[in-house]
Amino acid sequence: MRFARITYAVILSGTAAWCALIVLAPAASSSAGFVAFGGILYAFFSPLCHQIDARSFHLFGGPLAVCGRCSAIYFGFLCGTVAYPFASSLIRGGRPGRMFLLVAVVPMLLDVVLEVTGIHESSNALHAVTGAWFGTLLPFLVIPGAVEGVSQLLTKPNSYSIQSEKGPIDA
Amino acid sequence: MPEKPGKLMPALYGGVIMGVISGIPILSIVNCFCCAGIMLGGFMAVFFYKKELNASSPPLTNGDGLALGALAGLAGAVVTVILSAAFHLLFGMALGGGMQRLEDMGIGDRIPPETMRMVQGMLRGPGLIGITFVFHLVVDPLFGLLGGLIGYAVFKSKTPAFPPTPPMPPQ
Repeated sequence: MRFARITYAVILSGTAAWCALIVLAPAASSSAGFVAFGGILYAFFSPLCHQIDARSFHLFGGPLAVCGRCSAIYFGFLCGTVAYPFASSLIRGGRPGRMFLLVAVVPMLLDVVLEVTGIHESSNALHAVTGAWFGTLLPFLVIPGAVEGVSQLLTKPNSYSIQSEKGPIDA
Repeated sequence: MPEKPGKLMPALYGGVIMGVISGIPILSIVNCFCCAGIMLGGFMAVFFYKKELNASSPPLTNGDGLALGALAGLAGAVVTVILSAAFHLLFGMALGGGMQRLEDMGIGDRIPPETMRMVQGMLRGPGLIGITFVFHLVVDPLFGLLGGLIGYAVFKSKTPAFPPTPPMPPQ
């Protein structure tokens, strides 16, 4: 139980900090005295995203540190992480696996593949919706895995088997 | 009880995949899709580990996925820096093109010239390699963990890793 709460808290705070940095980049760039800091934040995220202006959402007069799809994935992940303790009982019938991953990722992959192949022209809204769908569902796969994995790494298998029967977060 | 196979080699294989994708300039575009290349390294580490498990081995666990993803991330950070440094020395390619990106976004104009010179100075030669290493040392294990957990969800066996504790026999 202790590991579960700590692991969840680490994931939630890490995700919140990551999303805050994405918003902080344009905010700092638009504030006198913090422009260089904003520039460093944009440079930090540059290996992770193409940062094309036309494909990004804008805030404080500048683009977010990552494109619309990436922003939607990260903020969706944050929303999913916040919702996880309340909504995880909906999928308690079984641990999310391959099928769940497919349901999460297929709309976004279809959007990417159809756009790259020129079959359809996507929009920022569609990037955001498919990215947010993936991002919001991902914590339901990742959090139980992380909680279980951390417990397995830090406790003996026999003591863990009792915890795992009680459920993911509220174990 | 049969021992689990070593995690080092599968993690190294995953790390090499991660490093090659992140360190080679054109291939690194894959990471623009939510660090897909980095996550693939963690995912593949679990795949290689799963291949080494036989019928008598203990089953794959979430803990294995986490450990493999994190180890692959560490290995990937080293491989990325070696490859990036090689490309930088041979072809003068700057990693991620962060500063150029700032210029393109019009943010470079707002950064005071002396700050810009300082940041550009940091992003040359050993400074660039050091910053790249620190960046990948943070980001690669994080996204490697995610890849490892997704790998576990895909490759896990149908039977649970830790079966429920059997009930107490009747007195």
